[in-house]
Amino acid sequence: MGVVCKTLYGLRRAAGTAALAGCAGLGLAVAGLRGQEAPRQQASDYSSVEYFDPPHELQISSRVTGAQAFPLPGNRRVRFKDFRLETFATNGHALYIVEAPDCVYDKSDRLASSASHLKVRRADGQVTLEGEGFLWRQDDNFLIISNQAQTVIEPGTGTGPNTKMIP
Amino acid sequence: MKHLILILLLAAGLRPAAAQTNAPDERTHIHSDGPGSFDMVRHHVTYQDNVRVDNPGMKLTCAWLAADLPLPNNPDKHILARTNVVIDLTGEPGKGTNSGAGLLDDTHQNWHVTGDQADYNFRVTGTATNEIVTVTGHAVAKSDKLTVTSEREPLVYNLVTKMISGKDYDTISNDPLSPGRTTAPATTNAAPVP
Repeated sequence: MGVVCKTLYGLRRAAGTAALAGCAGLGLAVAGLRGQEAPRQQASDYSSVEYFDPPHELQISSRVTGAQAFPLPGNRRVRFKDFRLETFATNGHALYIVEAPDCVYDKSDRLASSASHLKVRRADGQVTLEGEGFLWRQDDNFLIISNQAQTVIEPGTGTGPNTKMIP
Repeated sequence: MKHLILILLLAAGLRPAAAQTNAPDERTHIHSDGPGSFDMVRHHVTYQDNVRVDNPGMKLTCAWLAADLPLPNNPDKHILARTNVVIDLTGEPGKGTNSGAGLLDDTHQNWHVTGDQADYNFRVTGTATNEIVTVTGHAVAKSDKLTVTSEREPLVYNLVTKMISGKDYDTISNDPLSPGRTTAPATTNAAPVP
């Protein structure tokens, strides 16, 4: 039935960062992308994680997931369906969840971009941002929203307990 | 019987939702037509082009805006608005009873304020909540009773006490029954908000 695979995806920038792509179910492995032409096969349930630099090298700084991943020609970019990015603090607490129905991730330049609708919410649900189209710079965790940028801040934000889990 | 229970449950579930739609929206909304940026490390956002802020007691428009988002354990908010800043402040007319140094009006009027820059700060210190907006640069504040202008010195509006203050300003009465023009002495101190 299903094939489960784990493949290093070549997202590493420096020591202290790591990436992992997994695919399961009907998707086939996107194996051996580094150093060879991408097989252009779809992967499902893609996930890659990145860690903080020392002394927090055991803590995840961000996690990128996609319901489906399609390698694009050139062996650098991957198109995601149902893109989701989660960022974390050094204490392990979840910070933000970024979601877009469609996104292209450039693993060499460490950029994610899309023309589709973007939704960002803080893990405690107290702050949400939305917009149309975006560019995410992975190196400094900086998000540029192309148009119609908007934010909603819930009343009483900041007075509640800290958040540990992503809902 | 099962259908009756289901209908009752649905009705009970819908009632609070309907009530919520009539409740005032206490959230802060920031919208823009143009691009924005979000520094996910510093929790800092910027907006451009026809920026609108809808906050309880205050509506603001401008061309450019930056905001520091409140953190999970820190409710402090800071918003900086620049270029063609227009603010509508909702007072509580008739509730004014206080007076203080530099207060322009203590009758809790609604104010329409314009200026080059506005600085909004929401800060909680212990049990005290401070929420003020400071307008600088060709600041003009209008109420039904007064028009206040201040070219250089800031006009400060306290969203908690619903009172406006400043120094070195000019006022013009908008009341046809008591027209007049006054100039505040330069030494008048604004009522500072801690």
